[in-house]
Amino acid sequence: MTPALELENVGRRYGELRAVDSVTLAVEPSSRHALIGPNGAGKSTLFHVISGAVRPTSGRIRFFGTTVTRTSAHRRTQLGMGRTFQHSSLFDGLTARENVAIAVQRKLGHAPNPVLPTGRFRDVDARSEQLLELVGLADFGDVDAGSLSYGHQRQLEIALALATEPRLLLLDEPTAGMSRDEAHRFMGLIGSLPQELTLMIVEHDMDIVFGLATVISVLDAGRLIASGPPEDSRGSAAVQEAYLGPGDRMEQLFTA
Amino acid sequence: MTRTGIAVRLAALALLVAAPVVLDTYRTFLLTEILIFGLFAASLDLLLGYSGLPSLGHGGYFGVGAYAAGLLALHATTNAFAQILVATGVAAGFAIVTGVFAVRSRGVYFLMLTLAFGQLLWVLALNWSSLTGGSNGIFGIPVATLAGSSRWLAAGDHFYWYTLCSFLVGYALLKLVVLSPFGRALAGIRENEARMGSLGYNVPLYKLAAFTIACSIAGYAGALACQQPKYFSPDGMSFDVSAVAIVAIVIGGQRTLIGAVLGSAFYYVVRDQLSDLLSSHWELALGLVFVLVVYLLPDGLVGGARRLQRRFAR
Amino acid sequence: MTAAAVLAANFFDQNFSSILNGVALGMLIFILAIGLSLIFGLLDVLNLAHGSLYLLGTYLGYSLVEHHGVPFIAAAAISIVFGMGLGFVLALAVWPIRDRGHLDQVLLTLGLFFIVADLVTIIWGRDFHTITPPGFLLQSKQILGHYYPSYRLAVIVIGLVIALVTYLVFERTQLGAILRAAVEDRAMVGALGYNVNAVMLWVLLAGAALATFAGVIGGPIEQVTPGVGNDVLLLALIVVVVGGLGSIPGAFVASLIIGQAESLGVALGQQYGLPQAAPFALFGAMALILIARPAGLFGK
Repeated sequence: MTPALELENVGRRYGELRAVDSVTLAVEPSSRHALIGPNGAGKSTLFHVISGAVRPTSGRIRFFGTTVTRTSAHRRTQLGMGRTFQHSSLFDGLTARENVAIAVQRKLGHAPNPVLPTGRFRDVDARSEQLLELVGLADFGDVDAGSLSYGHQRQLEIALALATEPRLLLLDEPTAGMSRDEAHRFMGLIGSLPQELTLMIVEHDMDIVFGLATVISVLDAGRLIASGPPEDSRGSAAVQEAYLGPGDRMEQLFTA
Repeated sequence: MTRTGIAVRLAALALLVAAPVVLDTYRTFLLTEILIFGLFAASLDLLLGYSGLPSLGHGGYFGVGAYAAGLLALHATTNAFAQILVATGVAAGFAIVTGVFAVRSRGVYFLMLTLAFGQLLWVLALNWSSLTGGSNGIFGIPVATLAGSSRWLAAGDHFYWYTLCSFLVGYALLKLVVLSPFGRALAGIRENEARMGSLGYNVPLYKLAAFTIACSIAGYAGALACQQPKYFSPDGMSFDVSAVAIVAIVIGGQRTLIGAVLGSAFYYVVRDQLSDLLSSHWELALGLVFVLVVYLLPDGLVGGARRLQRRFAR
Repeated sequence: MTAAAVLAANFFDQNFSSILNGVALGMLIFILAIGLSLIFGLLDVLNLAHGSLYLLGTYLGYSLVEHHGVPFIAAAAISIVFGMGLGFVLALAVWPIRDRGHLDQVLLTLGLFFIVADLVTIIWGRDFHTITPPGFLLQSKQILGHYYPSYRLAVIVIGLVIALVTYLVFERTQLGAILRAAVEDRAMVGALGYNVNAVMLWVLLAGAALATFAGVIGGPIEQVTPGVGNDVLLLALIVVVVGGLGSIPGAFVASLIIGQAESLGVALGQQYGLPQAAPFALFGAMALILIARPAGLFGK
């Protein structure tokens, strides 16, 4: 089966700094693929490279078999790549419903229409309502996105990404800044997403990672140091070292 | 729209239609100018207020439309509609050619690049004497005709009604755009351009489309501006024209379309009164007016009116 | 020597005065542009009143030197203090609207610009004036086989000195580091414990002082007339944008380019009977640069 995403020696340099260093990995369709690693490991940069916000300085990227290395970000979204952002990126001055409608109207092909009033497009309204309900914001449709609580903004992020009807959804630290309960409920939402949708998620909370992921890839200093089923990472010395530093640091933590 | 809203609009329309009957020739002339400039400023609001594209060279496309209409009248046809059509088309052409480059810049850079384009168009008008008459401009333009060779538009009142209808058509077009899905996309670009890209929108293309529509309507207004005095010179597309349009939008209230029109009326009337009262020092008074408006009316006239409306509603 | 080099040398020879005038003008505009660029980069304020600061400086210089017999250099020094005072007034005027969009700032600073321009005509009238340079700079010096006014050479030197000092402050001092960081991320600098408001106020005062100083030293070169504020403001805006907002090296390179465009534009225009050669060269240069680099030469 064609992998949803294939990265072949993908790299991104900034002068001497290799933010992403020769990463080769494949994301299988329908998988829940987690990307973990210590801070500064290059996870967000890798996401930027995958989604097209940033061009790789080396390597190739294939999306369901199509090469997209030089394809623009908006074209990648049209091909089926959706993403959420680490820091909520919404249309603050517009209502939650309008936020979703902007995304939906493009998918339904109505966006270029300059003469008919938006009220005429029942399909856009219906789908927007549907998405708001899906993410639990049905009662907040008329609230300005900028006035929503943090948790609700994260939910709206998901709605926007889903509105583009992605085949691959990139979630960049979706539960960052949430309390235990909020994160738990949020992950319930993620868990309820259709199985056909491939998910790739950058996350720090290990409970969430091990609760959701079917594959875990570990990044450290821009390099992929491990990739496989969750059990592999749990026991891996390399992974421990990446997070905690070399040698007997772990012992020092517990004996000092 | 509320019933009061509809009533207010109908009353305003009735007043506008009845104006020439009530006002003297000079004031009717002034009102005609206000409508033309108001349409021009409203088209700029589409860019500035709705799309977040602050253009400082909008006067250039106004001038392009004016010259196109005037030259057509001198060399081909006096038909008013043909002139408007050609003016809009020529302005659209210039808009696309310059817009392709302009939309790659943001914020202040966009501001300055559009300023450069507007100024270059002005320089072009000033120097291409064989075509545009140079600094003297084009004059002796025959009056625009509606059907056949009727000189019905020669009368000031008639021309005013023709301008009013043209204004309403142009304004309605702008309103349709603003309320449409395309208009919603422009709002998205204004609020968060980067996000629009990640939602699959080809943002530069949308910006170019908005730029072209706005500049076309500017050209449309330009045609009217030439048809009225039957004369046009490079002064009519100088930097001042672009600057006054921005002032009108800020005074009237951004992102309302009608604010641009009200702001234009405000500017024309105040300047008219002040230059009468203060002759050579009207700039001082105008500056004071700007400063006061900024401090006291943060959302312009329309915003101030809305706040008053809310106060009375309680 | 290749044909191109010969042509270039010829061109330089024939247009020697204009080229050097362009450098002098460029330096003058650069001094203005430093303040404008920093005020925009740091305070995010599009300060159209900067032209008024130059205007007031030039009329102050005129008044002090021509009417009150104050020595030129003393007048220049006084203008710096005067400029800081004006900067303070400007800060007070802009403070209430600092969070409102650029357009509101444009309207306010434009209003102030109109008010000042008219007050100037009320006080001093509309005639053209000039300021006499200090005695020891009145003759011409011989440079590369041509005679050129010493005063303009002095202006070029002053500009270079200010450029050097600004560079050293920016790159080598802690204050400079804070300023560069604040242009990138103002909130972050505040979070690091620096009093960002104080920094911004000092930048405004310094920028205003530089503008009035430029007005005084520009007096002998540009006209002392109510319209000069308009002219230099436009040039300074172009320089700031072409160079890249908040970039001092960018403003320096851009001033040299724009100074040449304006000066050669006027000279060649006169030579070939094209009165609009100057605006054409100016806006043409700006358009070309912004097309090639949509965020200015050194912009992000």
